[in-house]
Amino acid sequence: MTAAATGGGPDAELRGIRKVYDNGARGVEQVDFTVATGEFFSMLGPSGCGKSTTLRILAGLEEPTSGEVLIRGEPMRGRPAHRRPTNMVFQRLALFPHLTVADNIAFGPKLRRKPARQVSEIVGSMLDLVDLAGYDARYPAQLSGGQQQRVAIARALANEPAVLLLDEPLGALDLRLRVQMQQALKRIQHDSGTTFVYVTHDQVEALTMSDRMAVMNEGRIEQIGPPAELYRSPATKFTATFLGDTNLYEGTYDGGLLEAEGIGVKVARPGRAVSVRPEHVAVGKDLDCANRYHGRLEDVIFQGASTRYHVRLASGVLVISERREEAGSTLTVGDEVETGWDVDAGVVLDH
Amino acid sequence: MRRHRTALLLAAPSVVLLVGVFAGAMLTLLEYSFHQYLPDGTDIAHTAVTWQTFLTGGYHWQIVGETVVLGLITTVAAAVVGYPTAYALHRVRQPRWRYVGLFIIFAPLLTSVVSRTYGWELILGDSGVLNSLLEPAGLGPVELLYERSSVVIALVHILLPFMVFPIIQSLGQLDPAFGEAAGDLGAGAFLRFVKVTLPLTMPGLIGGAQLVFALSISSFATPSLLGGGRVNVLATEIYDNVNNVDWPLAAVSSYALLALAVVALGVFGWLQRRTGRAEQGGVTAAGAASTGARGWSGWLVAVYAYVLLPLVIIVINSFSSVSYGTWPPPGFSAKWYANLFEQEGLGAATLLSLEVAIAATVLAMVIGTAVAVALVRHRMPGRGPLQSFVLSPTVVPKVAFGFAGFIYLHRLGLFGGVAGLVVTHTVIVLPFVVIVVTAALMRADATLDAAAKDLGAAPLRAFRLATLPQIRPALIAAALFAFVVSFDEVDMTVFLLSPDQNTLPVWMFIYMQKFQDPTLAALSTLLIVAALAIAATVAVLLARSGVFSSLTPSPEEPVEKVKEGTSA
Repeated sequence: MTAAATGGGPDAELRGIRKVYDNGARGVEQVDFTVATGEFFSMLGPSGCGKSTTLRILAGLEEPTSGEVLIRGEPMRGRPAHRRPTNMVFQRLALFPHLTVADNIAFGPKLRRKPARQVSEIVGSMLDLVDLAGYDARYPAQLSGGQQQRVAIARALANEPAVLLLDEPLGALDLRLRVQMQQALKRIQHDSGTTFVYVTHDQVEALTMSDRMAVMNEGRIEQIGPPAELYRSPATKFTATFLGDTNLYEGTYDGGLLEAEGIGVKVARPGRAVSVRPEHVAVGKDLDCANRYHGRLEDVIFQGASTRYHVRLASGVLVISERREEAGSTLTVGDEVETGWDVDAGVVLDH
Repeated sequence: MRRHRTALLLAAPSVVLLVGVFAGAMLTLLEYSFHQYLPDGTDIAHTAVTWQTFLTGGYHWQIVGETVVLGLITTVAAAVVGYPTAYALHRVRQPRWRYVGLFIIFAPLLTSVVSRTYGWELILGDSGVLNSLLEPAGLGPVELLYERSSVVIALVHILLPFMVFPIIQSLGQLDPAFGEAAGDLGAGAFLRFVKVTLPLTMPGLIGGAQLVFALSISSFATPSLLGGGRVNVLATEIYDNVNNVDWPLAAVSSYALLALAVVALGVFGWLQRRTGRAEQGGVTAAGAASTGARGWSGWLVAVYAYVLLPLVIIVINSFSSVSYGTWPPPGFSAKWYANLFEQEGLGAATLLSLEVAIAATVLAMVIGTAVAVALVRHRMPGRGPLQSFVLSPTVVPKVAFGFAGFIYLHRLGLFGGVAGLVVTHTVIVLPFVVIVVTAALMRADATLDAAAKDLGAAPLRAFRLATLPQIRPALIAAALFAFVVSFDEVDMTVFLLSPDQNTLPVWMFIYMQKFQDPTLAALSTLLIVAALAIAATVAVLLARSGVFSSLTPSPEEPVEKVKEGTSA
C-alpha cells in the first residue's frame, strides 16, 4: 500500500506561491513549504486566511498568479487537476449520488483504464482500509455522515495519489463523530503510508493529528513546525493567540522589563510582546515567582479537569490562570489574591 | 372536521369549480363516447360501437401513430436544441447576459401561438425567407410547408422554453463540486460531462421531454395551420370530427388523446424516478457558482436567432406593400395596419378576449391563492389528492377539454355566453396560479404570519399584513401569466364559441385559414409589442421575487469565501 516516492524531492513543494483575484478578494502571498513523504501536514487558520486557496492550487483546481508547485520534484505548472498525481477529499464530499459506493471508488481507476480485475481489487482493498467492507452496493444517500466521509477518502486514495489533499473534511460532522473520524484518518494515513495535506480551522484537530503544521493568517504563513513547538514557542502574536488561550502583553523592552500598558513583565530577552499560557500562571497568596501582581479575583470558572481564574489588577489589566490542582478551591470571587509566573514561562515575541 | 374548517373553506371554491366544470365536462364527454351517430342523423346511446370502430379501424391507429411520431420527433429535436442551450445559459458568467438570454428564450411564450405559426409560414413558404436564401445558392426551392417537418420546426420553436426551463433548473441545483471531484479523479472536460453532469441532470432533461411531448401531442393550431391537412394527428382529427358533426367519434378521439397523455406521463414519470438519484447524497452544503463559458456564445447566438427570427419576420412583413407573403417584400407601406380597422368583428373579438382573460384571471387568482394557502399552511387530511386534483387539468389536452366543454355547456344551456368561456378559461389557468403561489408560499416565512396573529391580528388581516407582502411579486407574475395564457388560448376556445362570437386568437386562426395577406402580420406586430412589454414586467418581477435564483447561480465569488463561509 505504501506510495513509493518516485522521482526526486519531497512529495509536495510550494515555492513563492502568490494568488491575486481580479475582484480584489484576498488570495495568498509568498507561501513556501515542503511536505515530506508519508507526512501528515496541516494548514490551520481562520476563515479567509488562504488555506483552502493554497490547497486548491496544490490540487490544480486553481492556477497561482506566480510561484511554483512541485510534486515529487516535478513542476506542475499548467497541469490541470485531472492530470496531477494529487487527489482531494472535498469539504462537501461530492460523492456522485448516481453511483454506488463501489462505482464511486472505482471512478478514478476506471478512468485510468485499469483492467476490471485490478479495479475490483482496488475497490476491495479501499473498502477494507476505510472499514466499509460489504457496503459496495449502497448509494451515498443510504450512508451515514461518517460513512460518506470514509467513502470520499477511499475514492481519493483509490488513485494512489502522491499527496492526498483534505479540505476541512470533518467540518460538517458533529463533535463525537469528528473525534472518531480524526482517529480513523490517522489510522488510514498510517496504513496507506500516503502523504496527507490537511486544511482545517479547528486548532484541536490540527494539533492532535499533524506531524507538522502551518499557521496561516491573511494570506500568509505565520509559522511552520511540529504542533508542540508551535504551541510552546509561538513566533508571532497571531500564532500565540490562535493556538490555545494566552495572556498577551505588548509593550517596549527596557532593561529586562517589558513595559506594557498597566503591567510590567520581567522577560528573558528583548522583544515586542510576551505570551504567557494560563496553565503557567499561578494564583493564590504569598506566591514565589519572578513576576507577581496583586489583584482581585473576578471570576472562577469550573471546567471539570481544571479551573480558570480571572484576576483583575488595579491597573485594569486581566490575567487568566488555569490550574489543575484543587488547591485554589478555597478562593472565592471577590478575594484579594496574588497572581504571577516565572520569567521562563513568558515567551517573548518579535512580531 | 371543525379543526380543518378554514382549510376546507379555502379549498372549496376551487373544488366546486373543478368538479362542476372540469369533471362534469370530462364525464359528459365520456358518456358521449358511448353514443353512435348514424349517417341519417339518428343518435343511439349506450353503445360501444364508436369505440369499436375507432379501435379496429386502421385509419385511426395511423393517426395515433402519427401523433406519437410527431411528439417523439419534436421532443428529441427540442432536447437536442434545448440541452446545449440550457447548458450554455447556465455557464454565462455575467448575470446581465444570463437574464437577457433567459428573456429571449422565454419571451416568445407570451406571443400568440397563431402569430408564431404565422411567422414560420412566412419563413418556410415556397417564396418565403428560407427559399429566397437557398435559391440563389442553387439549393432550392425546398418544400417544407404543409409537411411534418414544418410542423416540427414550429413546435420546437414554440415548446423550447418548456425544455430549457427544467434542464437549467437541474443544472442550477447541480453542485459544481461534483465536476471538480471528477476532474480531480482524472476526468477531462468531456468525461466530466458524460459521467457526471449528464446523468445528474437527466431528471431535468426527462422533465423537459415530458412537458414537450405532452404539449406537442395535444397541440392543435400549429399542425392544423402548417400541416395543410396532410399532418393528421388526434388533435386535428377531433376538430374535423366535430366539424363533420360526428360527436361520438370526436369524444372517442379525445379520450384516446387523453389516454396517450396519461401513458406518456406514466412512462416519463417512471424514467424520471429511475434516473432520479440526484438527491445529492454526500453533499453537505449548497453549491458554489459555475465557471464561465467559452465557445458557447456562438451556439447561443444561433438559438437566439432561431427563437427571434419568426417574430422579426412578422414585424418586417407587416410593412410589406404586397398582399402575399414573399421575401424580401418588394416595397413598404402601412396599409395593413389601416386594413386592421376595416376588419369586421376584430374589435368585438378583442373586447371578448380581454373580458374573458380579465375575468378568468381574477377568478383564478382568488380561488387559486385560497387553495394554495390551504395546501401549504394547513395540515389537513387529503392534501396530496387535493393537490393532484387541482393540477389535473394540465394533464388533459386542451382540445379534448374544449370539445368536452362544448358538449357540457350545451347541456347546461350556457353555450354561447361569456360565463361558459370564463369558467372554462379559469379551469385551465388555475393550475398555473396554484403552482406559482404554492411555490411562493413555501418560500415565505410562516412564522411572520404567526407573529402577526400573536400581536393581535385576525387571520385574514395577518395574511394581508405578513404573508401577502412576501408573495406579492409571485402573485403579480401569476396573474400576468394567467392573463396571457387565457388571452392567447386557441386550442380549447375554438370549440366554445358560438357562430356570432370570436376571441382574438380564434379570429386570427380563422383568418389565417382563409387568407395569406399581411393583415395578420400587422396585428401580430401590435400583439408582440404588447407582449414584450408584459414579458419585461414579468421578468423584472420574477427576478425580484427570487424565482430565478435556482436558474441563475450568483456571480462567481472568491473561493475562500464560498468554501470557508460554509464551515465557519
